[in-house]
Amino acid sequence: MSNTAAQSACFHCHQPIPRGVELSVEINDEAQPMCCYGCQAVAQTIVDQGLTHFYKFRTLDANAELPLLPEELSALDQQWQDYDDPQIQQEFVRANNGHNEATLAIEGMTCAACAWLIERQLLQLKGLEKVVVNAANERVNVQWQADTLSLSSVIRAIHKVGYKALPFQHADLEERYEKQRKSYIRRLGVAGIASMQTMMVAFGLYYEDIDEAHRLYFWWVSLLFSAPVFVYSCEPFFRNALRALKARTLNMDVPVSLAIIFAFFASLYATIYDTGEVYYECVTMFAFFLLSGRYLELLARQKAMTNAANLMKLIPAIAERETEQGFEKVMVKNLQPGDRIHVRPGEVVPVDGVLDSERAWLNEAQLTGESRPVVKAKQQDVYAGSINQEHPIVIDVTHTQQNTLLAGIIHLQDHALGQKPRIVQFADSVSKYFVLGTLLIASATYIGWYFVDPDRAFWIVLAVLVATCPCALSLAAPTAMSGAVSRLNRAGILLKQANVLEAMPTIDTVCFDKTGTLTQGHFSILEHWHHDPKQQAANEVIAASFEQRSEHPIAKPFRELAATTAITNLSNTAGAGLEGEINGKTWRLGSLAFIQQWHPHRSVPLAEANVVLADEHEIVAAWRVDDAIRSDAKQVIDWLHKRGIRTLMLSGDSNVRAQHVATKLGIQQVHAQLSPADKLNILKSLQDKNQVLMVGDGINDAPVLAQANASVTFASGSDLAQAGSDAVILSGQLKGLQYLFTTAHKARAIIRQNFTWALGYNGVILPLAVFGFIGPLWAMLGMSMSSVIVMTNSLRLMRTIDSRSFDQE
Amino acid sequence: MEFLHIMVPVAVIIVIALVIILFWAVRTGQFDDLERQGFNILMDEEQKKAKSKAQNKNTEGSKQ
Repeated sequence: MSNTAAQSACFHCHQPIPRGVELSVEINDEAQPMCCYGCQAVAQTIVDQGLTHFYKFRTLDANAELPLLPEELSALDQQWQDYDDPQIQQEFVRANNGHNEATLAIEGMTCAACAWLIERQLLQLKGLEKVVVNAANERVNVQWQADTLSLSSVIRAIHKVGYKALPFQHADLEERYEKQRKSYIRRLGVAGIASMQTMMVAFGLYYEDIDEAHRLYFWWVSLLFSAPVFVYSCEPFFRNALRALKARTLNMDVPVSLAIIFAFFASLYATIYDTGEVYYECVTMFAFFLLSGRYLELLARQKAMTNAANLMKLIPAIAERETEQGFEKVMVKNLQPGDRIHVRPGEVVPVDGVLDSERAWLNEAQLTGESRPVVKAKQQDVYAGSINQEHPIVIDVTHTQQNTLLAGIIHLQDHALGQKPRIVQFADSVSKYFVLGTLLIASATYIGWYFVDPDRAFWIVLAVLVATCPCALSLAAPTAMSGAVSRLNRAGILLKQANVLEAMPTIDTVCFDKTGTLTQGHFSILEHWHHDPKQQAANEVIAASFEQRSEHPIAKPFRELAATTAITNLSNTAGAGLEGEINGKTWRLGSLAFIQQWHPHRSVPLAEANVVLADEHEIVAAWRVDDAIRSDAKQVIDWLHKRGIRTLMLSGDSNVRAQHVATKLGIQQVHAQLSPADKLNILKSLQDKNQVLMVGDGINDAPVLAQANASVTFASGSDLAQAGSDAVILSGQLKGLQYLFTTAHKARAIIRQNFTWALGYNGVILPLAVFGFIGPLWAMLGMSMSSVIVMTNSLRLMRTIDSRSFDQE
Repeated sequence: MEFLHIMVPVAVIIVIALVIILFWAVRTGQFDDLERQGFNILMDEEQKKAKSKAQNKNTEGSKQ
């Protein structure tokens, strides 16, 4: 090869080519020299995408920065600039006299240090007024001067330090949660401060030698502190109780409210008339403990929700519509059936439509859960939510917005969710009887004592109500629940429905989805065979070079396998393989059938090999490429079997592939080639006799997840499936399922102990109170002790996790 | 026991002040992100470094 002086510069980046490097890319039928593999890969991509005009038209001005990528390939930058359009900004930017404010969702933020880095980076921008990064919900709030800074440069600045930022619209639901959280903090704070004060005063009252005047003074002080708790902090209990009464049911808030109201008014009566006993500290402490339980529960739910909401960014909010002049940017919501739109590689298809390009590779994982991209020919249907894999494509819009298939599946899921709360109903009916019982006994006691000793009747009834106050009883489950929730949170498992903890221990059947649940959801090379093992490296270079040119998704793992070398006379047989020349030798890479057309009598020793490499004489290498099974899948399934839990696989994939994975893992029953509706039917028939846990991902699983007695998804699954499941495993490990099981069992054991204690205590104290052996003071003390015991027992759930996680480390 | 007549009203005033501070804190979003602020004290040192680095870069730039 004789390189002239002009040719010794890289065609792509114009840097000198180091000696000994002989790389080239064929651009417009002419081999052009490249200085490194990086430039070669980029140039090759540009050629493959049909963008060679970039080289013709880019400016080669020495002072300007040499553009190394055509605009079409820097689609990200383009996308960001779209966000500067005032019409589009209307959706998420709050403008105020040239000062704009927006919230961006950040992807890739893992800790407080990331928040710090982003803040530093943004503060260097000119025109930026305020930036607050929230590490808890992975969002940043920015305020900037509209005339000196653009939103796209803010996003670009964040991108430069390695994070993805996209405008984000607050969901109504989330805003409501935020308000609720703030109100809980206020109520909790008031109750906490007041209970400290009332306890302090109550301690003084425990001394018998206190004189009458001071005792009354202390009562009035306690009243002053507990009145705001009664009026303000306890309001949510009263509101819930009222709502239940209006709906003609009884919930746990009814006895809670009754106890608070009775204790407070009895104390108020005692204070005003200077008689009997006061229970102010009981009211405030009770409110404080109950509120902390509810607050922790709310936090867990909110965290799960913000994570899901962060994924619902505005990415496909903008589409490119074809007009007579070319393409124009429009909001997706303004698209009409009959429009023609343009979707670039890597973008999400925003609507349902008919393909008008020759061919397209689309990833429909969001809809079908199947990770393998499907090939679509001209005139075939494409669906909203699928991701365009290779070429830019053109689509004729048929359905938009609420009419798409995606929206239909979401609707199905909503419906399934609406039928759910069986467990809630059960809990309600139990507490209904409990409350009824308490009220009946209290009334009977009052009537009885009215005839025996009318003076003592009220105080004895109060003692009965306080003693049977479902304090410990109502703390029994929620405290254990919040303990379990926080324990799971620390292990990377988010609970969205606390009742999954109640449901888990009863589960006797587990259904798994295959793709992305038992398997990793993307292709990798599982096995390889080389005719001459010494030639492995050389074979890999050849395979990588061929697959570099292939659009088939199976080619992806090969591209990362080795550096590439130049291929000439390349020809592609669609769906079969590639043929080309390297250094004068002809090679073929493709399916076994494709190779056997060439060497009819050769076979491959590697069973199930689906990629084969051959030279002119024989087969030199073979690979098995597939969706790999998760490394901990076998262990978890064995563990489930050991506990006597049946395992099933419900897959939308082909029978052979599903059976293959099932036999490897020892799954007992396999149902393959199922549509979402089939899955739902199988699950429903299973539920006649069994309690079923569904583990899956993909929106097609969402209705099934909602129908199951309990459901679990992975964080890597599609957003909506997360919204439909009871629990999300963030760590991405199937082992999380095992942890969820054991924690649920522990939580159930603790709840049982708590109930046994609370009911036992109430059962003993009740007759004593009814017959007047116990005064309200002792009833209250006993009740408080009982609550403390229950709380401490529940806290064991949090403590054991610490020692456990240390053991594991 | 006379001191109680002064100390208790003082306690009441302190409690009212506490509640006002709490409400202010909630309103201004002090409780929005409890993970992050704890790290600020650790970050300060690096912040100065980053700043001085940025300045160095600027001076280098102006030399050229």
